[in-house]
Amino acid sequence: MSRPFDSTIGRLEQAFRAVAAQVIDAPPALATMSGAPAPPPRRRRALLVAAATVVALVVGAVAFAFTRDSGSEHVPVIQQPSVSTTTPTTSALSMQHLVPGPGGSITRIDEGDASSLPTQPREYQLGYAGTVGGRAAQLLITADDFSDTASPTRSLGDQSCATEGTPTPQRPGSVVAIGNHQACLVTQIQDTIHVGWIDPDGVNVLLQGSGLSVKQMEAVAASVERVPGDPLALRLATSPPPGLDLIGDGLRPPIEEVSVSFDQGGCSYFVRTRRADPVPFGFNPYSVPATVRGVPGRVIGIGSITWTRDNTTWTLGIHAQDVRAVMDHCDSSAVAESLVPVDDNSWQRLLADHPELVHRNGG
Amino acid sequence: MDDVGAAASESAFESFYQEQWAAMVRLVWLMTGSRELAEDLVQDAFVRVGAHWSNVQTPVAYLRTAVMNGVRAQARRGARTRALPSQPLHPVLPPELDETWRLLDRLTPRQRHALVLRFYVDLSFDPIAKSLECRVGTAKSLVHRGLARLKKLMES
Repeated sequence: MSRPFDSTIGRLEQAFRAVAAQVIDAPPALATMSGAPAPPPRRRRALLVAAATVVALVVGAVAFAFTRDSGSEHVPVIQQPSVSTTTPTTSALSMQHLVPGPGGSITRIDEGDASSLPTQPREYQLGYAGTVGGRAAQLLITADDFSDTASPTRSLGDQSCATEGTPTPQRPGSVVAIGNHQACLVTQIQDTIHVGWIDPDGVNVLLQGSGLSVKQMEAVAASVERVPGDPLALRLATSPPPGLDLIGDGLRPPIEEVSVSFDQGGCSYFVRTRRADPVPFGFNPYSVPATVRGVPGRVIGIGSITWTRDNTTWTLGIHAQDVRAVMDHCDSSAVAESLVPVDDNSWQRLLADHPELVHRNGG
Repeated sequence: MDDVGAAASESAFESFYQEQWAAMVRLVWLMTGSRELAEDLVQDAFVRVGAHWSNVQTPVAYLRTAVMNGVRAQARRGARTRALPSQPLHPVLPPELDETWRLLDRLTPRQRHALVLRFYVDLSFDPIAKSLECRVGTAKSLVHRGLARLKKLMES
């Protein structure tokens, strides 16, 4: 007899194993242990594939004291269209769609819409970038109204930072008085500093900065103020550190996206389309700037690239159990350049003509 | 410690590091939803273990405790990782698993931690309660409520 959560547990376990299976890298060199811990650049990791595989096998055999899964189970890759009983729906997106060019064959179209989720938070973004003191610098300020009142994180600024010990402003994790805020210098990872607090209205405010000093971050945090009459909007009362320019601000769009899976040149790819964030690419010091289809983009992780134009962000990646194993003959950069834009009429006709390809995620 | 002893100790620590790193990163990634954060928290934990290596009797337990302390501290520090812009970190997942993975962000950190410990690590409720520093009844409740919420989100 099935129990009420059997299917949920099944999917949960599959998702856990699928994500865990992606960790096959060798650890960073032990030499970094003596100083500030720093993950290795992803490019370097790519050179460690062979060693990583051995390490993964060893780790699987040794098994962490309470770890059941060795990470050796692979994710089934969806490459063939499956029969769907879903009636093709009209996409709510009015964005530029990209489809594979000659030689490409669409295998699946996923439409997702999480706007009905009761806990979907809203997030306001305010982003700056530039060069400060000769170094590249980024600053992203966000405010969200995450409605999860049960979360212990709601106590940020009251308790969590206070448990970290002596409240010394320069100490990561400590309580600091910034303007009228009792803020928490959340953490400092490499050169990224996070500062956050919850204001009296229950709005989570977070500053993420790189290439900036603690003092500069404190000064920015002290000048953050809510825009009167707006539930989430923020602004700076004073100018940011010289060299930083505003690159975007506004409310993040609802999570709506369309993903087209396709085969091309013996490889399986997907291209995901979604509304762009007000601050392009948000804050991700782990991605590498790149030019894609003539516009600014980023290389993310391994084999994935993303770019933004006209309030739309596309991400192209490779479907594979181990992306690194197919990197020598699957070129996501070249395929991104070969994608063909289609107008909305053509897109709707595609959905109507091939209902067997269309899947509605609904969340 | 003489030179030979120091070298042996260093070698033992390196072996320990090589053996445990990936499993720890997997665990913390599932708990936090961020691979980069997981790598940083695990690195921090290894630094702590390394600092006391010569006095540590049960290194795996010590490391596990250091990692869990880091995860809990990160959760206490705020819904910070959840406030980060979502990024396509897991492009190789099939859509239904990708959806499940993203829905985990809608749980509270403690619910998520409890689900990872129960269904990934396969712990019983006693050690889950110890890891989360709560009572067994609370651990059971976290798992049940986490599953119920996840199911509701999947069906919505």
